[in-house]
Amino acid sequence: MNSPRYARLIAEVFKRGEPRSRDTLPRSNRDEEIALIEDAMETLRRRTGRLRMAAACSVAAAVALATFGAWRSAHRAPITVVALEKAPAPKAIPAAAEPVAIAIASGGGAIVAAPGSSAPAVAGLTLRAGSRLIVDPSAGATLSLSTGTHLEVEPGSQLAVVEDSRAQIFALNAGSLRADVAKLAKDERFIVRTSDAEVEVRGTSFLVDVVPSDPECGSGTTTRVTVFEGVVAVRASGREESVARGERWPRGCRSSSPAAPAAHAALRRPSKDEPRASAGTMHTASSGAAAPHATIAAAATPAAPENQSAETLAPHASLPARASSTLAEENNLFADGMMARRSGNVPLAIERMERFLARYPASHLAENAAAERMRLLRALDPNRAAAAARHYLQRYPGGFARAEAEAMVAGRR
Amino acid sequence: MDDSQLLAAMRTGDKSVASVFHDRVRPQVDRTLLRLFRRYDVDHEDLRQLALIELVMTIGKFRGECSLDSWVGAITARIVFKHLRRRQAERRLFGALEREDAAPASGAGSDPLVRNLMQHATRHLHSMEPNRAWAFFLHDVLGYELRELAQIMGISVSAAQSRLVRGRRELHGRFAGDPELADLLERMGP
Repeated sequence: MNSPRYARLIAEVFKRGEPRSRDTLPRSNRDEEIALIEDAMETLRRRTGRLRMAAACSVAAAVALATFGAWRSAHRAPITVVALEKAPAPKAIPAAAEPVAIAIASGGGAIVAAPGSSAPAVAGLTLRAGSRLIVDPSAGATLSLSTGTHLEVEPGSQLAVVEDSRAQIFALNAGSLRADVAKLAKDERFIVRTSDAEVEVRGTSFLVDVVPSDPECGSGTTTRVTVFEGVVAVRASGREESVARGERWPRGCRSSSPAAPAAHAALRRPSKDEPRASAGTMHTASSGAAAPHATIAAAATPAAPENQSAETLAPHASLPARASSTLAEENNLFADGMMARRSGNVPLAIERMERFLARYPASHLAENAAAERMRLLRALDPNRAAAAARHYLQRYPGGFARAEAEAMVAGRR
Repeated sequence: MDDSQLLAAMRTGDKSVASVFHDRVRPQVDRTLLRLFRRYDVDHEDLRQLALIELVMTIGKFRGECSLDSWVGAITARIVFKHLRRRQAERRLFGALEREDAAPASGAGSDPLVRNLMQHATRHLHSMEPNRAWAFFLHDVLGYELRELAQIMGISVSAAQSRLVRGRRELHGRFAGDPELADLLERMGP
């Protein structure tokens, strides 16, 4: 990697530009600002008071608890009896603490491999975090989660359960997976990891395929995304793109893998009458294993979470395509005109500036060229100079040579 | 009243020093806003008031590791950063750079070719990932230290350094990808 020499150079060039300190600040209401400061001080005082009160309450509660604990340990036996007599029925563990049950609905010829053991995937068998489902190439398998989510694992697939808690995370090492994801609670997540992507459902419907790399499509990415509902933000190689309903990513590619149409047909939103309200349906296909390098987050809005900024993908952040500009030509033509002006060849200078304006009307130097043309014409042809000044004012109403241009227009009148 | 006495009085909530505090910090708040935007910005008044409030609310955290002016500058810059970020207008600062360059200025800015180069560079800043562009702009152009950069952006020093390094690298790559621009920069650079 080269040292960022150009970054250093451009910083030096920027530093040469002096801030415009000529701007005079309008007089503000000093009294109003002082009142604002006093209000802020009062708010701070109240906040500090509340914090102190809360701290005092905490200390008092801690002391009371400690006293109660000491008293209780001194009177343990009677308290235990009373407690047993009056104890309410044990509360169910909150759902948040329960692991999600992942059961085999139909297994076919699949095998469940857990650390240290393996067993045929019979209906009702439960998979825990760390379990791996190896599906026979001739038959698929279906999993049911206690959250209502259903997973259909295609023949020949390998699926591992990474987490079975509020975050349900699966790793698809090979094959295909179709997921009918039940509506997720606020703190729940459903994620499927493939060899080079991570797909997360958040209440939308889309299809993700992992296909062989095509150099002519999306810089060779192996991931294809089709969105059926909502908007999906696709982040890959340091870039983020919004893919709306009915669109595909990468754009301009041929249709995805042969499995896609079938998967597409299989994708449907269950009707309201169905027992489980599916919030998202996802189909994922994968083969091989490699280090992940892309993240795909699906959401009803395209905004990406801050903690998943492009920096997390930085090792793969690509530089923009090598693009040449007309900068050198622009500069040469402009410099030619300026040189002609300095050498006293006004007609040539005018001709250069006019050529510049005709050729590069959107250039950053166009305003300079227009101003120069106007100045050059002033000595040669006042009428044309006035026309040029009017043109300048029309094009750059707040331009740096506005005063000059206005004077020229007024002078003619 | 010196700075330490003023700060001590502010910390105790003595409202009688509010006007002294205002007169002491306000010029630095204005200087920082002008330094960042390089001109009087339409939001200048609002940002100044937000900065004054933030200074009061965070005065308890100021431990005197730097001068009061530096601290005021960093807090003001943080307010600007948060304000622009909330409005997803992080690139406005770079736009200010461009506006300044488009105006007649003394020194290097008065050379149209240099100005053209700067405008092209500004365009690259516009299209960069905003956090990296900010890190580069605040540290390499405006001269904020890494510690201040971290404070302004609300991140750790190492994260600030990481953003800065990546920002420089990205900007370098963009120039390296445009041979004519790179050549011009080589010729015009220091």
